[in-house]
Amino acid sequence: MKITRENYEAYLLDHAEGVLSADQQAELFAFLEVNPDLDADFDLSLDPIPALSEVSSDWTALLQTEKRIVPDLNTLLIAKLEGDFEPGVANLDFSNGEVAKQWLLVQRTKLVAPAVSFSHAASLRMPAEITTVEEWKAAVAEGDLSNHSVSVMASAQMHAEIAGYQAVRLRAQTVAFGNKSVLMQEAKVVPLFRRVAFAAASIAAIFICILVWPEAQKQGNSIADFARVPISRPLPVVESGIEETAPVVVKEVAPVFHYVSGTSKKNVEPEAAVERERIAVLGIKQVGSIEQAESGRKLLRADDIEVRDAMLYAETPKSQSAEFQSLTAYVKERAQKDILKVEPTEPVAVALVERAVNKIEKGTAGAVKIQPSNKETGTKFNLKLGKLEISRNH
Amino acid sequence: MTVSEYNQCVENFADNLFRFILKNLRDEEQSRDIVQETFTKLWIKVEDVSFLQAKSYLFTTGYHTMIDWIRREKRNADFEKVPESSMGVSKDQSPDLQEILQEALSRLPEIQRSVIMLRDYEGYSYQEIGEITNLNESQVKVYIYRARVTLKEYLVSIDLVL
Repeated sequence: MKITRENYEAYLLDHAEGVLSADQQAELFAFLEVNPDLDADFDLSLDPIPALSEVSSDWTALLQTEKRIVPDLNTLLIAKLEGDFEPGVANLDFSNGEVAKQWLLVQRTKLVAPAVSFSHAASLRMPAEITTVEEWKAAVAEGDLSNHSVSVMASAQMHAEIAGYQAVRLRAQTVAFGNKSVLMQEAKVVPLFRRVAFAAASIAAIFICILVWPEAQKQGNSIADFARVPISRPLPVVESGIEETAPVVVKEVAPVFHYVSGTSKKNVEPEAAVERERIAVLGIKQVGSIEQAESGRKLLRADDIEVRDAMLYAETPKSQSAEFQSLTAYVKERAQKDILKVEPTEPVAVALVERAVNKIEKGTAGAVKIQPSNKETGTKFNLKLGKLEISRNH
Repeated sequence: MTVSEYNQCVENFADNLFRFILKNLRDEEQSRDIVQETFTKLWIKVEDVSFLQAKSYLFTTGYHTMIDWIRREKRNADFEKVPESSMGVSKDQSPDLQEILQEALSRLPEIQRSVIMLRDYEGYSYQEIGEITNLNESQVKVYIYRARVTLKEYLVSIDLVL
């Protein structure tokens, strides 16, 4: 084989070991003559290689020095810590002071997970009524999940899809029906005997009302307690896309007029902030869920039958009602998880809810918000009900 | 995975994922955004990801989202940004040692920090860590080894232990 710069090192080693033939040695020297830069390697190759017996004691001593042993020891100790298979692990001598010290240090590198709490976990949970991604997209497009973090963290692609959903929503068109006059009824002549009968019936009705009124006053919370005050608002556009032809009359709360029903549904206009707040408060009583109540859109405007039911509900002592207990439990849970980070005592939670409900009854409350503690103001617990604010300080 | 199982994932893994991202980024707000984005991605794939795969999916997605963000931002946040309350203190080790370890952890290269946290905090195997970080098992093992040696040397260097 011809000696080249790629294989000359093998020839040098063979030369040092004295195994080259005379021809090979001659070839090697000829190669080095034309490659003088490799002379240094040739000189090194001439150094005799010591026999193992000559160096065994020195090398053993070197292996015992810390610089040589620590990396090997680290490997073994880390393998032991990790539970990896490593042949030398079983031979570790922990009675040796250095080994024991290094083992203790390696053990201390094991990280212990600190308690870190993700305080926004509630915003990641999906409401129970959302069962598919499609429903979620539709709900986001409708604005039903406006407070839901997941809804706003969607990717650009998701935003495009959601925009698509929103684009297909119908908008109300103003269309005038020109023949209204044709539909109007002419005034009719009513016979005298019918007029007399109508007058007698009216008098009888007034007489019955006079008899019933004092009893209703004693019981309280009767329909007579409710003052019906129309609130004029801009014409709302409901979800059907049909513009209402007359202002909606909202009956004033005193104390309960709007509430939630599980059977009939009607959307509340998002623009009607006052009404929505009121419904939110009543929704809390009815469903015991602040989150649901705050959304407003899921709650209903009462009709006459619902009003009567609401009155019955209003006559129930709040502290005994399931709704009140549910709200109490909710406040406790929120206080524990999000605000105080501790379990509030039962009397504290009950007192807070009692005060809140009392304010609701007086019609001064709006939407409910429970805010986390604020170190700057020293507020530890903050329960907001519209204009009402209940706080516990540090 | 059902919606109920998805919500269970939020309950079980949101804290762990937040801790993992927070310890890497040292930026609470950004970490929160990444956790939210990760759960959004899980929700979008809720029908494709099984409940058993969910934790691995969350950490894999969270890790890569975090890496993307780091590369995009090219910044190294200040460790002091993290409030002390978020860091917690171990029950088994003294607060001093925990602080020192956290400091040492913050000095590790990102990949070493990630693998050792996945190993110690989450108890993942080499193979699982490899799947999350796109490394092979040998690379994971080497990074964990280097991380432990660095942590150990840091403990020695400050002459606090022993």
